[in-house]
Order: sequence, then structure tokens, then C-alpha cells
Amino acid sequence: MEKILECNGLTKKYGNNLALNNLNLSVSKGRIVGLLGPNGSGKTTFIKLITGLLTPTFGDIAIDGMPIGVDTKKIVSYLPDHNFLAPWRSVKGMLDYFADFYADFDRSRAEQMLTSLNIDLKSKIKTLSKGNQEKVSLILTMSRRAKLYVLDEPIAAVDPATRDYILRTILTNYDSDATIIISTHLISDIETILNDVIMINTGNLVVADSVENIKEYTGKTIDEYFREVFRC
Amino acid sequence: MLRKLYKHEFIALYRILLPLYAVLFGLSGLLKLLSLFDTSKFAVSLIFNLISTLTIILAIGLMFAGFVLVIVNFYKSLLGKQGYLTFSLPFKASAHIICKLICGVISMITGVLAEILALFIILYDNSFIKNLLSELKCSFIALKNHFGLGKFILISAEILFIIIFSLCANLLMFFASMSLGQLFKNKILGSVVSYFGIYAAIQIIGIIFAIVLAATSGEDIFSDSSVSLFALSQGFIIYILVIEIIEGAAFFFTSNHFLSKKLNLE
Repeated sequence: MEKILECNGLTKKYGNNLALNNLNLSVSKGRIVGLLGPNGSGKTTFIKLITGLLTPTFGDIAIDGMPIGVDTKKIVSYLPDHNFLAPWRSVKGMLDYFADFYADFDRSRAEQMLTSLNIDLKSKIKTLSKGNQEKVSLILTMSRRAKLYVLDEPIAAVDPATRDYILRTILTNYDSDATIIISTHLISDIETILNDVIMINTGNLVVADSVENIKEYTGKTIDEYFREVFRC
Repeated sequence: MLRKLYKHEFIALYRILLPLYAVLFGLSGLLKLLSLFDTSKFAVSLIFNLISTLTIILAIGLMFAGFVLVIVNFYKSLLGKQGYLTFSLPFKASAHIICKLICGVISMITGVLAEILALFIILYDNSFIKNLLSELKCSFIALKNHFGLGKFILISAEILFIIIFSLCANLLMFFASMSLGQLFKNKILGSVVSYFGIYAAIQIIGIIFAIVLAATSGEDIFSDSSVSLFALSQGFIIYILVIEIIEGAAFFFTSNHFLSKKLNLE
């Protein structure tokens, strides 16, 4: 299978703290990958390295065969675990922003999804509820025809109904040859949609394999396996 | 694509500045209108003084507003939560810094132009324009006769460059302070500490540089009668320009390094 993401000896240090330690892994195209690990395991650091917000201390990352840079940012659609929307812009203003900078942004799809949620395009971001701001962020991210979607904790801190909406939006809005990496610790909610799993703990790779294989050799669900590996 | 980066930066700045300019022009127009009435009457005088005060406060505020706005916008859009989106855009960190610098300088220049225009609105009448033009013409002729046309144009251009480079160096110093300050736990405090640290370092380097320059320049050029005032001024201007360029470049590379390699978003 063709690879979308390859990491070799990927290491990130913050001062003396080792956030990621010699990660060697690859992700194939067209897969939905769960990036799993407890809080502080290095998931967000890994994501920030993929999206170019951080540079590795050692090692390399390649996306679609390219080193991280301007060209990889064109094909990676990133949903951070923070609200990244400018509060003073209108929803339409954010659509303009994405349309201006991302050639792969499907504006009509975004407008359709926003309309279906009864979100007024003229509304200022700051006037939207927290839940709606998260939905707008997700819609903007998923309305790109990207090759790699990187979603950092998209279902954390939202109500179950919104969680369902988010998962439905993710599943119905990506091309089958695109790859999705979802970081979360709410495994039971997303286990059924995952093809592969990357588990990391204190910066070390625990496992990177398909859900099928993990279930086969552990005899457990991913959620059960996670609880066993990360038992306190 | 780069053009769009500038477009959105201008939108971010002028969404606040344009309404401020509009209010300034409105108040200036109102002042002009009131000046046509008899200002010795209490009510007219009261309104006139009130609006004059408001206009002066706004005009002074506008001088700082552009600068403050550029700095706040830099912090929020690059180092705040919006930074997650800004740095995910397909641009290098250097493109963001240059864009914010150019748009910042332009916004400050338009601020000055808006203030000049407001002054024109207040003072406008036929004799004012006539007097102003004649004064400008006299000054131009006097300077041209003193320096010669070539030198006059040269000095004017040099002064313009000094203003622009100085503005750039100052803005870049703030950018560098914030880029360094984001490494601290309290980013705002870190930025303030970094600013004063950089400022102190510049002063020390400047003093050392001046001492070395004075020690190595040999004879005292100020008492050398063969050195003309023009040559002295040229030496001084070039000295300032070189310093501003070195400082600006150092601040730019510092900002670029920390935003590219040591980004620490919330």
C-alpha cells in the first residue's frame, strides 16, 4: 500500500523532556487511523510535527514523500484541539479565508453543511455557541479535499449528540483515498470506524498496526486493549 | 497566494482603523462647520471645545493605535489560538513576518496621512491653502538654493528612508520580543521581559560600537574645517541607516528562527 506518512527516528525534546522518542512508523493511504494514548503521551506533539507547527529534534517525517513544509501544508487539513477561528470574523469571512488559501477547499459543500445546521453565514464567530464554533471548525477542516486529515481530539468535551454529528461529518466528507488520523482517548466512540491504530505512551510507540491484527493477537477490543496497556 | 495573505492582514487591521479614520474626519468636518458660526456664543463655544478635545484625543490616540494594533494582531494571529490556523497555511514563517511588517508600516503611514487630511479639513479655506502652498514653495526654493537640487532630493530621500527603516526596525523589535516571549510560560510577561532585554542589549552594543568608532576614526572630524556640513550629515545619515538595517535584519532573523523552529502555541 502506498504510504501517506512516514516517520524515521522521530524524536522531539522540550529542553530535557523527551516528548517523542525515536518513533518509526508509516501510515498507508486511504486509512482511518486512531492516534491513541493517555494525556501527556505525546499525541499532540506528534500531530504538531506532522502539521509543521513544531520541528523535530532528530529524525524525519515525510508526507506523500515530501518533507514537512509549504507543500505538505497544501495537502494536510488540520483540526487542532483549540478553537482556531478569529472571533471577529463572520462565518462567511472564515469561508472566504479558507477558499483564499486552500485550493482544495470545497466551499459549496461547506455552505451546504452550515445551512443544514442552521448556522447563519453572516453570524460573527464570537456570537456562536461553543458547540457551533466547534462544528464550524470541523466543517471547514473536512470541506477540504485534502490527502491527509489530522484531527486532534475532535470529540473531546462535546455532548453525545454533537459527538455523533462530528463522527458522521468526518465519515461522510472525506475521499476514500484520503487518510484520516484522529487523536483521542475516547476509544469506544470511534473504535468501529478505525482501520489502524497507533498507540503511544510517554513518547514511545506502543503499537502501530491494523485494528484487525490487534484484535486477532490480543483477543480484545481496542478499548479493552488500551485499558490494559495504560492501566494506572 | 501571497497577495491574499496581505489582503487578509489589511482586513484585520483596517476593520478597526477605517472606522477610527471616519470618526476623525467626521469630527474634523463638524469642527470646520462649527467654526463658521459665532464661537463667542456660549452654546457654540461649548460644543466647539468639546469636539476639539475629542478630536485631539482621537488624533493622539490614532498615532499609537496603528502601532498597538499591529503588535496585538501579530500576537493574536501568530502566537494565540489563531496561530494554529495561521501556521497551517501554506506559507513559511518569514512570509507571515514580512506581511505583518509591510502591512503594519503601511497602516501607520495611512494613520499619519489621515491626521494630515483631518488637519486640512479643519483649517481649510482658500487663504490657508494659498498660504500653505506659498510657504512650501519658499521653503523648497530656500533648501534647493542652499544644497542644490540634487543634494536636496538626496537628503529628502534619505530622511524618508530613515523614517521607514526606523519604523521597520521598531516593529521588528516588538516581533522579535514576542517571538522570544512565547517561549515563556506567561507569554505576555515573557514578551515584555524580552523587549527590555533586547533594548538593554542594543544600548550596550550601541555604546561599545560608538566608542570603537570614535577610537578608530583618528582626528576629530567635527573640528576638521575641510569636512563640509553636507559631508558630515551624509556620514551621519549613512551611520543611522546602517544601524537600522543591521538591527532590523537581526530582529527579523530572530523572529523567523523562533517562529519556525521553536514555536510554542498554547
